[in-house]
Amino acid sequence: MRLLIVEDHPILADGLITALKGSDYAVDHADSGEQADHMLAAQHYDAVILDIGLPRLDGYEVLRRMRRRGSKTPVLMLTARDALEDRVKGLDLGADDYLTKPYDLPELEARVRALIRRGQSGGGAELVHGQLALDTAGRRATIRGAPLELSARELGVLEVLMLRVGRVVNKEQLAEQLYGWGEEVGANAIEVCVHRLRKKLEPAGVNVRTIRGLGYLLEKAAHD
Amino acid sequence: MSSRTRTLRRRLLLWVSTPLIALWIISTLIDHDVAKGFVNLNYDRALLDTALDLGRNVRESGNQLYLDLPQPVIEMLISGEQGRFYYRADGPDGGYVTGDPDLPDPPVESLEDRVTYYNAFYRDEPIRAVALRVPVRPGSGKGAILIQVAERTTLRDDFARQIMIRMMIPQGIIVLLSTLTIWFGIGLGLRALTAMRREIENRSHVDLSPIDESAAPAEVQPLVRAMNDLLERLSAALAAQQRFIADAAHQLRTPVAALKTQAEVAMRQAHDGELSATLQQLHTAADHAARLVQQLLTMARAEPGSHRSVMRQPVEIPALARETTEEWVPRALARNIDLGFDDRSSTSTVSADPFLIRELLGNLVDNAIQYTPAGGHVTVRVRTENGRTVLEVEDDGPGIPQGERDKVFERFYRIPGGSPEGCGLGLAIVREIAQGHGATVVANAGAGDQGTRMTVTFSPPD
Repeated sequence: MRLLIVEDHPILADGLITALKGSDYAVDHADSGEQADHMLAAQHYDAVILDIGLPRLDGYEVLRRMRRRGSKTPVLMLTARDALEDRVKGLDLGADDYLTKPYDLPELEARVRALIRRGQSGGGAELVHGQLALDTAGRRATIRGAPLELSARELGVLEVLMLRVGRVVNKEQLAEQLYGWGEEVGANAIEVCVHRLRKKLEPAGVNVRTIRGLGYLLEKAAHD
Repeated sequence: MSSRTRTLRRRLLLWVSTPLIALWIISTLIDHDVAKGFVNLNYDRALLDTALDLGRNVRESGNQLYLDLPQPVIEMLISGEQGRFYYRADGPDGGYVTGDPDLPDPPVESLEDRVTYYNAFYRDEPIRAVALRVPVRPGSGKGAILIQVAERTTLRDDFARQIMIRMMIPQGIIVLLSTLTIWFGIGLGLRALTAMRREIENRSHVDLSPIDESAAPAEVQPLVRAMNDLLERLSAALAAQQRFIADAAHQLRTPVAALKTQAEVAMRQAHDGELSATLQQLHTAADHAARLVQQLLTMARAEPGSHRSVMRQPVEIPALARETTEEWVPRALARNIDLGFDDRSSTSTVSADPFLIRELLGNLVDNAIQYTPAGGHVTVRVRTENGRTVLEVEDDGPGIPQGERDKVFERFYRIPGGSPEGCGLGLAIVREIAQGHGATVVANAGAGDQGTRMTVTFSPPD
């Protein structure tokens, strides 16, 4: 996996490079928009972390030129501004995700992983959470490679939870997902389903936490 | 307003009513004079008639002059409306003929005139008298007889006074009515100012838009213009200050991000326990700096002069509160705090800036999470109370001592002995945003007198 970091602040860039190299990515660095533009034209990257506030050629322009060349490389924009207009502009120009400085490093890493996954597979992918794995195409879940018996509903719920690890999934979102499987479900049915799923996931050391008044959350595995 | 305050209305009234009252007094004095003139004209005629009657009946017998009238006729002639007239007749040589001998002489300068009226004192009382000179025998060159008839002036004075009083009363009523008319007239005229005052009073402290000049009377428009000019300059100065804070905060974000990233990377690389602990602290400090930067930005946006302060739109508070709470769940879990949501509202839409309301709630939740020990509970609640939307954040932490509950909303204030992690801006921002939305925020104890309950009450929709 090859990443390009476009960031003009040397210490921040250095920190990002060190962190991402630690996660076994090949990392290149550009400290100006012009340099980034040249590197992107010459080399294929699996993902780009692009700062907006760059001297001379700004991040928006780098992105615009990149997309004009037909590049589909996923781009995570970094910005020191969080005005809505800035975000919309970035996404309109073809950025895939957006993070505001200062961010949490694990969050940035998770977003990069998600971007690379999205860039690689055209839909069905394998979601991994600790010892638990879910093949969204084959609709099969495994713990340490051993198959886990799950109903279609439970698989649906698990998929939504795994797509949003560490974030709250509310009952409406779950109901919507299950309705997509051709079933009408009430709040009680969801509760029962989550209860069963929770029991089945216990051996994997994965916990589905109930968040009062909000919904459920798949807790981050200790070594994620 | 104290009673000593000089209102414009009182001043105007004073300036108009003082000359009115002076005019009234002068007019009354003139009335008295005129009335006295008319009364004298009337009564003097009766005096003269009597004097003429007496004069016609003075007879000459040898060298002796005498009044040829029987006593009852004299009595009838000299009877006036208030007792008798005084009279005296003197011969051409000044010899006394008849009547009251000690009636005072007419003034010397009247000697040449046939008829003279004059005022004098007789028996210690003011009198009015007429002096009439009648020739002893016309054409005889024998000189003239002097007839004097006088009466006390009491009746005339009373009469004149009565006329004066009867004129004074309606005039007084006119003065009073004018004063009242002016009082209400000024009030009516000042109503335009009252409307303007209300408009300014009802403004939110973030509203620095110009006052409507067209509604003001022409006389006040220069004042309104000057005030609008001041508001504009104030607004520009505030905007410049907000821009500076926002720019500074933006500029700080990149180095803070660098600090956080490096601290995190160093923590992963460190295998020495002591170094790890130090790096953990460095990382926590960087986190606080990051939060402070975010809060400074929010503050800059919530304050007057910021362009964002007017970005109002209908916001469904329950939905917004739910979303914001969801966003805070991971941070609460990281501190082992049970963050929950409780929607008890009927659908509550409030005109608000959604960005700022999100920050308001975020700061309340952040604060609750920071001050609640691990294992504690924090609940975000939306209620509807008397048509008002109420947003509450309740925790079962140590609570805020009674005396500190107002102070926690001050900038950079921290509860003595409280957690060192807060930067002291969060609740100040909450209050700033609440005020900007016409909402109130109060700190109380939570359920069972435990923990803290922060209550934000929005004003009811118009």
